[in-house]
Amino acid sequence: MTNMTRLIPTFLKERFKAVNRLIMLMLTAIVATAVVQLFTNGVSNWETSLTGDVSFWSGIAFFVIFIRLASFNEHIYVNDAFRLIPISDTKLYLSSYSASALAFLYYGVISAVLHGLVAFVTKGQLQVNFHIESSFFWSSAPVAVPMIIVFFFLGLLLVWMTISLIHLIMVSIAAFLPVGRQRLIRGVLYVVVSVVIIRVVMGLFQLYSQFVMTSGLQLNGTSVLLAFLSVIIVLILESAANVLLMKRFVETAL
Amino acid sequence: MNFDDKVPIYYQIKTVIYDRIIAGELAPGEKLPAVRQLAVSLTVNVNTVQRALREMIEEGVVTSQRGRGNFVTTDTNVIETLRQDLITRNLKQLYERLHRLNIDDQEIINELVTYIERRARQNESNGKN
Amino acid sequence: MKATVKINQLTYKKNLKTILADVSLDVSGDKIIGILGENGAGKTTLFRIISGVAKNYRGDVAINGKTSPADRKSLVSYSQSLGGFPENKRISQVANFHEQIYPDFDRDKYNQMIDFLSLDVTQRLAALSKGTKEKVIVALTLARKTSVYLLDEPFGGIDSMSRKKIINSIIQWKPTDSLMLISDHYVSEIASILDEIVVLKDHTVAIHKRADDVRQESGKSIEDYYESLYEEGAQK
Repeated sequence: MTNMTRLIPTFLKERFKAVNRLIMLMLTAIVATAVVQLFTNGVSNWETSLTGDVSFWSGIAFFVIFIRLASFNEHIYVNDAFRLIPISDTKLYLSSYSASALAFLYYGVISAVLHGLVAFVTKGQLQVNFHIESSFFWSSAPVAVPMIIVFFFLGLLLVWMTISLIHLIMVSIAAFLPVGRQRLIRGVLYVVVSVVIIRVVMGLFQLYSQFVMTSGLQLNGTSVLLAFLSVIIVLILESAANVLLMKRFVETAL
Repeated sequence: MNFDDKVPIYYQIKTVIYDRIIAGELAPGEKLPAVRQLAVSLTVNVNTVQRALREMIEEGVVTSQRGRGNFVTTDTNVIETLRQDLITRNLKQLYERLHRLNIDDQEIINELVTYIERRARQNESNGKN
Repeated sequence: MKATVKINQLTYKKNLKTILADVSLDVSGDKIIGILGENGAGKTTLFRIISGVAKNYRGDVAINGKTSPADRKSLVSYSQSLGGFPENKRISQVANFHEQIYPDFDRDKYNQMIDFLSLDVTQRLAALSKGTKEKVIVALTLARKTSVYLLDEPFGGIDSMSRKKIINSIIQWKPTDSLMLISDHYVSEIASILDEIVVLKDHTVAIHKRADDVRQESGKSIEDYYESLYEEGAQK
């Protein structure tokens, strides 16, 4: 049997490689844009344009990396190279998600360092921004910042796992469809399944917000904790569904 | 080597090894190659070689020494019997076939002598070239 | 421990088509077993079910008595097509991946086979000929130390030299106590190494016999015997 401590590093290696490649691409794009702007606009205002470039390209990189890592997850379900690994489907699923989450965290750190570096180089600007609401910012930051990061991460997992759920349901259904006209039926089904799944997930959150309203909770510690819990419960439900589909229906492609 | 796939492979392996023993290529008391090595050189399954060996051991032509391998028997009587059997078997086949064609015994002997003499001459002239 | 593959009343359908119907098969010991059948007879499906990557079948599958897919995956080494790897990967990278994910991967044995098969491990998957790819697959499959080996058509469309090399690798590196199933639709090339043959026909097991018994009883070569099964079917 392969254990997770062996599998996660293996998965991480390839994901790191992909993320690094995209980071290099992003840095090249930032430098290229900055140089072009330096020639067209001259040195005046270079701080603002550099900050803008970094935000723009890191935003693009964020999306591309997000999608790339999602494709790593989806690849695993339907591939002999991964599905033959002697490990339970639950552990395979968790290993894949752990690796993707860690790879994304790695990008987050790199991105934060990059922003910090730019802020340091163009420090006049950043100070102006912070100055406006400094008192409130500094008082709530120790709690708010980690909270936002955690929520952000849970949101990320939620979207990934929802993609997986739609994909796995589709693969499961496809095995029961007649051979002809697969493409048309699949296209229609993809839309239908996607709408249904997204509706269900949204519905769960609506249910939750109604519950918050009726119970008269305010935006305080308890309600934040409940929101936190509700996301986690949805994640667990989706994961359970995903693993169940893997175990029962989802085969590798020939 | 090429096997005739109509005949059980283990039987053909046995034949191959017996032929080598009779021809003296495998001397009495000589160690046979390891099972896997035999299998690779004959392109057959290890189990098939083992089955052939088992039968050769039962027939007393090969002796198995635990942990050391398989050896051609040192009992020359056994090898002599093997040799006689082979000769008899081939002659029997030849005789029966010719006999069926109503060729009488004297003619068979004459033809055989003539044939052997002719082959000897052929071999001689081949040797000179 | 004696290796066993036990399949009981296995039925599998996909896309509303029956692929395997009520297949029962019990094989064990240190044998090489030929799984024969025409293209589409269900050989690959059978292997995929045994190895645990095909789902949603009815019936029981047990390897050494173990039924869970994860256990089966650890007991079976299945010759996957390498389709899961990007085409720009090198042979050595694929081998490294196997070494990382399979605790039973034997690097020494793998290297010996690479030498024997004269493979250049720096080659990328996209550049491999059919024969070379099959050699890589066989080396990777046999490099694992498992009870059961499943080789799915390892000779499909390759030249006779590659075929001989692959057959020799199988004889040389198949662990003594392991059970091996080789599927093929053209039998003469492997007939001499088979202990038993299983013929899949009409979605199920038509014949399961010892190869030497077939030769002895029918007086036919395995190939002729196998072909006669299909001729009989055509006459009906």
